[in-house]
Amino acid sequence: MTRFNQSALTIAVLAVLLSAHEAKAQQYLIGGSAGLATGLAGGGGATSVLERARTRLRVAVDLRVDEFPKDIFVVGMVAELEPHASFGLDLRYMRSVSKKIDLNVGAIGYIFPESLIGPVVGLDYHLVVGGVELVAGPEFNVFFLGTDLPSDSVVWQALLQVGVHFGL
Amino acid sequence: MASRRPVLLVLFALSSVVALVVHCKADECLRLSDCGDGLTCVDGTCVDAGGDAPADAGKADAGADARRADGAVDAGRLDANEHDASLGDARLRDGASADVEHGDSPADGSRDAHATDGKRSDAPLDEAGKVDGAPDSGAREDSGVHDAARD
Repeated sequence: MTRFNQSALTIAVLAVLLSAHEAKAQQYLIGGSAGLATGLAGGGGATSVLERARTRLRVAVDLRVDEFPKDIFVVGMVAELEPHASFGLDLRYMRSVSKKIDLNVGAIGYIFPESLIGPVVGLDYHLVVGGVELVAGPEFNVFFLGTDLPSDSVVWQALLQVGVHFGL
Repeated sequence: MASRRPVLLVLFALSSVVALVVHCKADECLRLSDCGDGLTCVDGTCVDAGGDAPADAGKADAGADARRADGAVDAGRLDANEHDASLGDARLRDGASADVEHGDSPADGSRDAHATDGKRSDAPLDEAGKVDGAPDSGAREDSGVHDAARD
């Protein structure tokens, strides 16, 4: 190969490399949310009871990949504020079914001062008002494990949650 | 106009929850932590676990007293049965009936004893006072039966 040919090949390679666009890397999209919830709680053993559910504060972080923006994974901290306090965590898989509606399913567990564990399903409706993304929707929990349950008892909660969502 | 619909839905849901919550009772419990210290949740109601125990203990004591009284009666019956062969059916019947009354109500028993048998009244009175002590009551019953036998 002549020197001319070598130079031409080098220029061609450099031209290709310099003209190529940078490959777009997979991006993680992280968001946060905070909301208050209350509603009804029921269940019990032989005698069914219906009462107001404890007011709950939930702060969560959601993670999605830009290649699959409809699949969202959420980790949240939940704290019941009144009339009795407790603290716990939840893990959820959220699926966007439209631009404004997300469905989620997962598990929620209170761990302090007593434990209470069960599945959770919910719906979030996103509404942007004045540049703020509001989130509201129902949520349904069933607790069938934990030291806070009376014997032979299951507790359910039907909550309405209202909060805000923001990007991080 | 269309953007107001979700807001109205949320407001409606909030008001519905509030309305339902207002009608719920406040003194019920679903979780153990709904109840205060020393209380436990049973069938949707907070009950005093510590309070129940003494009440049960009281009942147990009452039962024990009853058993002691029964024991005294049994002791009396045994004594009466022991004297059955020597004293006869009449003595046995008197002794057994007096013991039963002592077991149920010592005072009534003593009144009955007074009413039926003047001499035997002293022994049942003492027995009624010491109904817990089965051996003593048996001994007293023995003396009562012997007194009755002397009659």
